[in-house]
Amino acid sequence: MEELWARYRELQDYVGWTDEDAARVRIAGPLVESRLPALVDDFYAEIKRHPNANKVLADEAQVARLKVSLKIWVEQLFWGPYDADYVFRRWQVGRRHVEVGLDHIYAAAALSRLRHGLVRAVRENWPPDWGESSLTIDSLRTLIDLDLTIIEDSYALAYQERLQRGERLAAIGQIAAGVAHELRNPLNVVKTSAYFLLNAKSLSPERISEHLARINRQVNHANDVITALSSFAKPPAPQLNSISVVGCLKGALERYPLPHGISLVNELPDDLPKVSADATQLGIVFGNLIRNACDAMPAGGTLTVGARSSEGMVEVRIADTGTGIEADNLAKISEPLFSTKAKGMGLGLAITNAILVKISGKLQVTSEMGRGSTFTVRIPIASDN
Amino acid sequence: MKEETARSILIVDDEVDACNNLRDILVDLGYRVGIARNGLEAIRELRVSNYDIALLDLKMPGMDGVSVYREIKRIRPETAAIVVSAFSGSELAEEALAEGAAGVVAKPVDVPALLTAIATSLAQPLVLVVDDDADFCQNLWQILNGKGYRVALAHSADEAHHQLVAKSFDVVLIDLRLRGSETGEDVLRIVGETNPQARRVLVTGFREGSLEAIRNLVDRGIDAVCYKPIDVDNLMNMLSGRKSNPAERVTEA
Repeated sequence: MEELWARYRELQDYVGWTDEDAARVRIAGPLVESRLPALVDDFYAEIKRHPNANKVLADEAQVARLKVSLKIWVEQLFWGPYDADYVFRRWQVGRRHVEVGLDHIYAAAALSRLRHGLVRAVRENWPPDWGESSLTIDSLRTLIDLDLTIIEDSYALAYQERLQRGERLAAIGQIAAGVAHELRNPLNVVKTSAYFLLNAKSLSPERISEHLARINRQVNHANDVITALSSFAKPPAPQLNSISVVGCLKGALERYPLPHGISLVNELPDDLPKVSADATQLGIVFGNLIRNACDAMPAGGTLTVGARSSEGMVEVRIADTGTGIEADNLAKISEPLFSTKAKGMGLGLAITNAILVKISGKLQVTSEMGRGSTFTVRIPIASDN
Repeated sequence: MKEETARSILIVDDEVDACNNLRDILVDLGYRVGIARNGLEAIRELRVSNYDIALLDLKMPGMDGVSVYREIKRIRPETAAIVVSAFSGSELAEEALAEGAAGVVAKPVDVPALLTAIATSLAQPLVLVVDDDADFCQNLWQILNGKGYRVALAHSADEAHHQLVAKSFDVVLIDLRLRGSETGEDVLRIVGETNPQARRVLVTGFREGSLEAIRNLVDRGIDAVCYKPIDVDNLMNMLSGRKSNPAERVTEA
């Protein structure tokens, strides 16, 4: 509220509003009084003319209430005082329009008519012995401009807030669905193991340790899901070092052994310069790309890993001979929570991208349906090579 | 005569641990259990083995659970499907129910609830429909599935023979005139040899002139006669044996 008042004062200074303007407008007040009811009626007639605007007006009783508010608004316009409360009332108008879903263009159009009407009323009722009316009309226009600025500001802000709230809710819904599936599966194993251990008629020691190992494995899996989610939401800052891309790739290949039916073609040269990256995070990048490549080849295929140095970057190529990515999906694959797979939350490439952006790296993909996809990662060469 | 085998359940889920856990629980309770890690494995397994029930995960790489169920209905329509999924409230789950799945159990699985669902399915009477009209068979499958029966289909006396040797049926629905050299009478004889406990319901389009033949069949073990086009309520009564005097029914006709 104080901020708003300060802003209004700033705007007043900017347009050169003075107490003299206020005095002029006040004197003109009685000139519009007789026309006010007609102007208020015209304002709502204008709004009701637009079906989209009319539908937010519930009934005649509401319109009657709104007319009273508008009449007070015009009276305050002429008599002031132009204090913090005055500004706050204007501010509320914009917010109210967002609440009821009235598009600002209709309010703006109606206000424009009202403004013409007020100016005309002043001009036509101006007593000849008062001299020039133009200074007063200028003051009135300035005052209405100030009012409209506040209303538009509050409308824009409230609209933005509403939009963000909606987007936030949609994102939460998407995350909830992804997390639900990814966590219910490990929980399912834990729960059914617990049932077996509690209820089985015959339980050998081997069976017991088998089930405890399953529980342990699935708890770790559930924890990985949560770690992936939180590291995506708040990625840790990279610890930059000069590291070998080949070493990092080999580590990732050891952590994610290729499934049966997929053969590896190693096209990694021996003499690559070192890159500037976080070894753990780059390992995640390669791990994600290798896993994706394998997932794209359910019936087996060839995974080709190559690299070269080019224009201050090391380019790593991870190519599969799998299903390929549909053209429509290519633009979406790095979006968080986008997935075409039965498993997973759809965070892999989003995390990969986020990691690369932080080390000034890049991710590119080319794909052909039925032939496979090639992901190219570019990482800056370290300066101490 | 066939030997009474353990009730059998096929678990279809791509999660190894989830499969193994349900297997341990069900084997401990005396069920015969098979595991399939995806849709293709499930179909392969069902081609070679009979299962009373399939527990179907919905989201699996390759075929989803609903597609697997559609295939199961084609090759083993008498296998009841229970969906076991983390997506229990999803459209896919709704689709499975619309296809005729017996139920949906949410993951993490409440085992007592799952065991109840299994017991309910197993308690459903098993019906064999013997008719060479594939569309009529499909319609009957849908009607009877919706009324709480498990339904096996046979399109010839030969197929009926295979089914009757393998399983114990509560009811056998026989079309009087199968195409080719086989007749309903052949099937009726096999039922008598393999499934003497089963109710035998004759389905026939004949009315005039066949009374004598039908009386004849009634003497040889037919419990009820149902005329095409069938009246569903009437058929239900016949399956459950509520109108039990076949001779009377024939005279009525």
